Amino acid sequence: MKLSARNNLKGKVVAIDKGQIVAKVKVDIGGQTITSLVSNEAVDDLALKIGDDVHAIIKSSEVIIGK
Amino acid sequence: MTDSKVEAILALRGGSRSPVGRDRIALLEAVDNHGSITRAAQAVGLSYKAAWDALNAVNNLLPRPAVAAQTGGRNGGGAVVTEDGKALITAFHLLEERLSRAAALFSEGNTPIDPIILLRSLGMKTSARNAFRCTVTEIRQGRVNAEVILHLNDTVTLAATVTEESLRDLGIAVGQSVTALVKASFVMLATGKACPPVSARNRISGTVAHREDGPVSCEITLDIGGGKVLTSMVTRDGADELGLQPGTSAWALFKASHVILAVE
Repeated sequence: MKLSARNNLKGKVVAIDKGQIVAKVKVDIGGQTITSLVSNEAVDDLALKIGDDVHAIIKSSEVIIGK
Repeated sequence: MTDSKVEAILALRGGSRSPVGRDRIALLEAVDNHGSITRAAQAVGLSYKAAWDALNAVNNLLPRPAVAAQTGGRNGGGAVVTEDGKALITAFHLLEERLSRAAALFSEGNTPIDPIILLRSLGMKTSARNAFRCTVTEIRQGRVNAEVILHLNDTVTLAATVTEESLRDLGIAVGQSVTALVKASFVMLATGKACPPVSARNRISGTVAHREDGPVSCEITLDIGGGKVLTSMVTRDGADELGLQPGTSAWALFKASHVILAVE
């Protein structure tokens, strides 16, 4: 699979917090943490668990820059 | 095919009383501008009596008067357009503009005269490039969020995450028709045979129909079958890396939370 997204950060799942519909997944990217909200269904489909090697994929049009 | 403009004429009528159309609204506007019925009548070319009758017809349309006469005073009494009257003027122009927009479709030879299309052109237009008419097939409710599953066509199902409050406000129920809106910049593209193993709930396969390059961005239109297309905005770098050209197979990926639902 090749993706158009310009940001494809390799990391490890460090936390999964499931709600009723949406789950919060924390991914450690070289010491910094990215938080992602995905559906519970996606967590099940990908069989996500703590320690999994994953990619945090962010479209460049979604990145806000602060200074 | 004719090039004569098609115009819609709007008239509002309360009960069996005489209708209020553009001329009477123009008179109401003249009263607002001149502050007097006499001068307003002159401005629109009516006698005072005709103007008085016309304004009564306008007043009869609303629960509260559109024009309030101020008796006495230096000029034998002025007249003011009330807040309700001003709201009527605005509403009338908005309705007339929308009706004309819908009626213009009659003169466009390439557009089929379809009542649904005509009605839709009365409503709000959005900048979202992707608007899909879908049927709600399932609703999964949480405390804050709800996931709405939508049937687009026989091959494509969409998922939308909206708040419970939106679900209630819009009165979304199974079986209902809704429009799913997705901004082109929310759509990511992927290549490869298998469905990409990503969390995005919406993964739709298609074929690149068109590619439009800008200096930085690239607009890709995917044919997703059943006469539907999906537009995506990605960087040129991204499109080049994937080798996207007309005819290339690609997946459109977007999060359920990036789908906006609209009802009519």
